[in-house]
Amino acid sequence: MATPLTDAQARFHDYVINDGPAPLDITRSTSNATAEKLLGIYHTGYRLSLLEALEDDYQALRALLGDEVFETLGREYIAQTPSKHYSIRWYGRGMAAYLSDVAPWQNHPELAQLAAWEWALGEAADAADEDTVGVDTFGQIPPEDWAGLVFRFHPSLRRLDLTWSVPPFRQAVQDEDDDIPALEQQDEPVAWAIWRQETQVYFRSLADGEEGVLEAALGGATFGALCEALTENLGDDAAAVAGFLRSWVEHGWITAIKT
Amino acid sequence: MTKEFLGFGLGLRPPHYDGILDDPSGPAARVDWFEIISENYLVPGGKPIHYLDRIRERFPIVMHGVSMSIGSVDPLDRDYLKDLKALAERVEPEWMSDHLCWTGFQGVNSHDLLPLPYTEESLSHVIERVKTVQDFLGRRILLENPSSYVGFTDSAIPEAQFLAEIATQADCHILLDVNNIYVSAFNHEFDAQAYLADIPAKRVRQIHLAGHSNAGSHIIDTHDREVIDPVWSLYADALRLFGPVPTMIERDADIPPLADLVNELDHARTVAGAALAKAA
Repeated sequence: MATPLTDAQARFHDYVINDGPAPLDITRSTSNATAEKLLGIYHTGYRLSLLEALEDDYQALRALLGDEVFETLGREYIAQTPSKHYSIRWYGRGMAAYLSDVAPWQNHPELAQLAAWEWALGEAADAADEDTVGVDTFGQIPPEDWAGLVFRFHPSLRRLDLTWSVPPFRQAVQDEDDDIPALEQQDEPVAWAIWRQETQVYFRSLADGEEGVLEAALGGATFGALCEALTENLGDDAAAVAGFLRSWVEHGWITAIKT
Repeated sequence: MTKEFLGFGLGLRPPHYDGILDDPSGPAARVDWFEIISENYLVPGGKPIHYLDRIRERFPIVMHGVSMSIGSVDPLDRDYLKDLKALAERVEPEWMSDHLCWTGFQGVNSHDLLPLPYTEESLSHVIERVKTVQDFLGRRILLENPSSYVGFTDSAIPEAQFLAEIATQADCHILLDVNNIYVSAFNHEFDAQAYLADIPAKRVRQIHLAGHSNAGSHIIDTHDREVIDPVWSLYADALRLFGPVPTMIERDADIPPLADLVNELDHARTVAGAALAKAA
C-alpha cells in the first residue's frame, strides 16, 4: 500500500527544512544517482535560495561581514527561521531582531542597526503607492482651520534612530564605491527618515526638534498640538512647525491634510 | 473556447524594464507578450508595480506563479489566492499558471517546487484543489509539469498521464515546459517522446523553454543559459503533435541583454515555423 501523502510530505519536508532523516525508503535511486544524492539537491537548494534572498536584502551587511561570515550568519538564521509567508520577499524580515538577540552577533550592535536600515530601505521601496499633496495645498486652507489640521503620511515613510554611521556606509556599498567609509559609532543617536518618491528611495537625518514633531504628527496630533509641543520643548513657535511641514510636503511624505 | 495563438513571449525581468519602455522599436518590438512571476508583483507598490502597469499598457501579460502549492496536504493559502486574484484584476492576464508540485507543509514554505508521488491519492487530491482554485479565481488555470530530481517508490502513474488526468478531470489547461520534460526524462530515465504522446493536445495552452545545468548524474533546471539543441528538437516534436502553441523563454539567472533573449526567441520562431510546415 502506498505511503499516505501526508506522511510522504511530512518526511520529505522534515528532511529538507529541518535536516531530519532522509526519506530513503520512499524515494528512488536511478542508474546514475542514489536517492540520497538526488534528495540532497532539494536540501541544498532550500538553503541556497534563502541565502540568496538574504544576500539581496542585506548587501551592506554582507559587505561588512565578508562572504564567509555572512554565510555562517545566513545558515544560522535559516536553521532558526522557518519561512511562514508564501513569498520569499519577506523571509529576511527577522534579521535585525536575530542579530540583536543572539550571540555572538548581539555583541556588535552595529550589525542589527545595519540590518534594520537595509530592511527599512527595502520596505520603503515596495510600500504602497499613494498620491502626495503639493505645497499649494496650504494656500487653500483657511487660517482658522490650521490649528485642527492632521496629516496622513506616505506608506513608505520609515523612522530609525541610529548610533552608528550606517547610512553612508550602506550607500557606498550600494554605489560600489572604491572607498567604503568605516562604520563608526556616533556620539549621539541620529534620527533618520527613509521614504520613496515615485520609484526612488531617499533618506535624510531629521533636524533638531523635527523628530519629536514628526513622531507626534505620525501619531495623529493636530497642527495646533504640534506647535504647542514644540514651543514647550524649544521655546519656538508655529513658524518652525510650518517649516518642517513644508519640507515634509516637498519630500512627498504627506498624502492628505485633513481638517 | 478556441485556442488562440498569442505568439512568442519572454519572462519579464527587472534588468529589461527600461529597455522595454524606452526603446519600443528596439528588441522589445519582437516580443509578442511577457510572462510575469506573479509573486514578484505581489507587493504593495513601488518599482515592480510601476513598471508592470506601464509594460501592461503595451503588451499582453500572462501570470506565472510559484506558490499555489497545489499538491500540498496543507489547506490552500487563501491569502495567497486573494492576493493573486487582486493582481489578476489589475493585470487582466491572458491566463494564469502554476506548477504541479507542492511547496510547503504545515505552513512552512520551502520556496521550492517539491515533487509529488504520482499515486491515486495524489491525483484525487490535486484534482479537487485545482477545481477549488479555479472556482475561486473564476477562470481556468494552466498547470505546468515541473522539473524534478527524485522520484517516489510509490509513483505508479507516469507523470504525463498524471497531468493529463488532472487536466481532463479538473478541466484545467496545461503549460508544457519542454525543458522540464527533457530534464525530468534524464533524471527519472523515462522516454520524452512517450511523455509527449500522453499529453492531450487540446489542453496545451503555453510552452516554456529554458536552459539547464547538466551535472552528469542529474540535470538541474537552472534557467541560467541558452536552450540546448536537444530541447529545441523536442520542442519541434511537441509542436508537430500540438500545433501552434504560445511559447516563451524563461531566464532567471545570468540574465543577458534583452536583445540576446529576443534573438533566442527568434530561433524559437524559426524552429516552430519549420516544425509546423513539416506537420502541415
